[in-house]
Amino acid sequence: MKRLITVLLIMSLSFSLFSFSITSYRPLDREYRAMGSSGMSLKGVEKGFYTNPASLSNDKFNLVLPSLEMGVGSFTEIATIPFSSLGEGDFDAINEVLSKLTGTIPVLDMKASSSLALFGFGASINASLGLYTSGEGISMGLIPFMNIAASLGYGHSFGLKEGIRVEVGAMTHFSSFFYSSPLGIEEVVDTIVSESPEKLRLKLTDTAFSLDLGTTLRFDNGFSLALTMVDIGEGTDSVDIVTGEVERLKSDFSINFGSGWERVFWGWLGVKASLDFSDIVGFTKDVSFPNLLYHTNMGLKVNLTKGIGLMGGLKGGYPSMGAELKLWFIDLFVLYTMDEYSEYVGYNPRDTLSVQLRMVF
Amino acid sequence: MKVTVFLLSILLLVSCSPENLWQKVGLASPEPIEITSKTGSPKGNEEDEVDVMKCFVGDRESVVSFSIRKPESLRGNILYPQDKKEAEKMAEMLNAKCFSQHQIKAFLSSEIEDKDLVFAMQNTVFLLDSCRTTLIDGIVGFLPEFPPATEESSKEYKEILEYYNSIKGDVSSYCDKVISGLFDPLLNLLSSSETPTWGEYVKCQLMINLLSGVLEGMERTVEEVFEVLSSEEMIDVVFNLGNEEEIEELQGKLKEVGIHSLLDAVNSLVSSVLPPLAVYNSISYKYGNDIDLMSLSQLLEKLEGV
Repeated sequence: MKRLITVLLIMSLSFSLFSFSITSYRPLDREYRAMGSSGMSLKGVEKGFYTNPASLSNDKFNLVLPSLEMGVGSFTEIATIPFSSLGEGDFDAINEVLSKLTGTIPVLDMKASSSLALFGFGASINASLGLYTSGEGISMGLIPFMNIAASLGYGHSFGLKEGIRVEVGAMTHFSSFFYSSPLGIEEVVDTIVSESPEKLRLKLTDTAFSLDLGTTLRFDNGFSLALTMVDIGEGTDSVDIVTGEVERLKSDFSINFGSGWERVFWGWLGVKASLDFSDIVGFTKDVSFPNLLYHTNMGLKVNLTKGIGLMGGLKGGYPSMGAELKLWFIDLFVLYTMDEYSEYVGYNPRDTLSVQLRMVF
Repeated sequence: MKVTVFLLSILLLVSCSPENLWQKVGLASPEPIEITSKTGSPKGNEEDEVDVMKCFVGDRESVVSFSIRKPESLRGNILYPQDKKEAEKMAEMLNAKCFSQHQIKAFLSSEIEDKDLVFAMQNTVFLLDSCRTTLIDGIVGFLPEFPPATEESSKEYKEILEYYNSIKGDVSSYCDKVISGLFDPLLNLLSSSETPTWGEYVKCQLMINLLSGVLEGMERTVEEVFEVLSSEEMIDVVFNLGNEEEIEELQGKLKEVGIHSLLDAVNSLVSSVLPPLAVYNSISYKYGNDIDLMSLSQLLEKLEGV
């Protein structure tokens, strides 16, 4: 009996009653993420797609074809797994692994994207494949998922008066989310007895339309201010992949404010600094100093040469850092971020290590 | 140089494990641990009756219903089982990274000030003690009775009937072991303590969640077996026994039902028990010794030998 239950526990992939859905897929640009999710007012046409549409006006031509990224979630936890003991069937070692992979957390995430910005117009397509954990330890689910998003927008820049430019932009997003039906215990037992398991199939659970608006005030001395409204939309109907119930999800609408400064010294040393304030509406629900800290993001970037950049930041108190290396039109980026996966700050932070490779023209 | 110092400072302050920097330096405090208990009045069709299944599985249509006379010592509310989200929230709080193990242990050792919660815990224990035998008899009682063998009955029918009755005996014995394994720790829980701690509450709630999962699994098993055995096809075969060919058909059907039901029983029981067992495991793994809670492997050993 014990052996049967132990086998079923180990084989109980994706058995979960978690309702799992999000309203929009937002693959943020890597510089923004490395700088603690700050820098919405800084220059960079790639910010235009998911951070601040006004940035689409920053460059006449930019082509990313393709960008490939792979990330490992709960990196610190996974790094401490006793892999050698697992092979010996050590129950405590297995238990330790399962106890680390709790909550609804991305474990593995692979992204591919391509974007084109041309005279203020911007179009991008993004896809990601990955695995999420779902549940608490032994009823852990490993839910394969796929997200696809397409975006189309426009940004325009014009002079306000001498030394000050105004940039405005809008971006529309269409996102689709696919999740695999989890393997239930019934299928596992069927597999053992009758050798006729149900096949995994991806189910469409959400589709979402949303709109982002943004504006930036840019000064010749390097300072900039930005205001964005993201994820304007009615929300989406989400289908629970286990129960089939339909749940109406509100959009993750937020109003964000950002400030930044950037300058190049001696023609080669570039410095960028930013201080953003995220989700102003959310902050008004609990106006307190700690909550102000949780909504404040700050970051710093140093370009040692045109080809090497180092970034760091704090997103609501969680650190992030990144390093980029550019050679002609190929660049490599290593990114480390930390995010909160509980409704309470500090309860369940998880870190992710990602590597991105792309070609930029 | 200043940039390097800034980046290194961040690295040092948040090194070793994922933490929020503002909480680490004391500028912000984490949300305090607050476990929301679920209490309510014992449910029953009559005023002096308690429907055990409705109390621990839920108020819904079911073929399974156990009612007992309300114990005199039971006055007031009882603890209800948590749903999956509530249980996982409790597990998340007790495993929160922003609290040290020392802080969690101190919380678990602190006494419960809410007297209503303390009474609810005691009432729940009284109720479980009173309904143990009724539960087992009720579950076994829903397995159908076949007509007793007579002198005219065939040898094969007598063999099948004997085999079936031995299965029923095994089910009864298994239910007794499972329920005793779950009930006994609870019955001993509050016997010597008038001011229980939060650790004892957590233990009590985990066991009730587990019991709810077991009862729900058994309910689903009984419903599935009932559905198979009460199908027209099965009734037709049983009541029209005649020649050897038809007896062979009955044997085949019973074997099929037996295997199918056993698989369904495993399916239903395991799938109902896994979610509360997962939460149980995530808490017992770290704090089992502090709140005298059996580890998962110890719990499985208790069920072994069935």
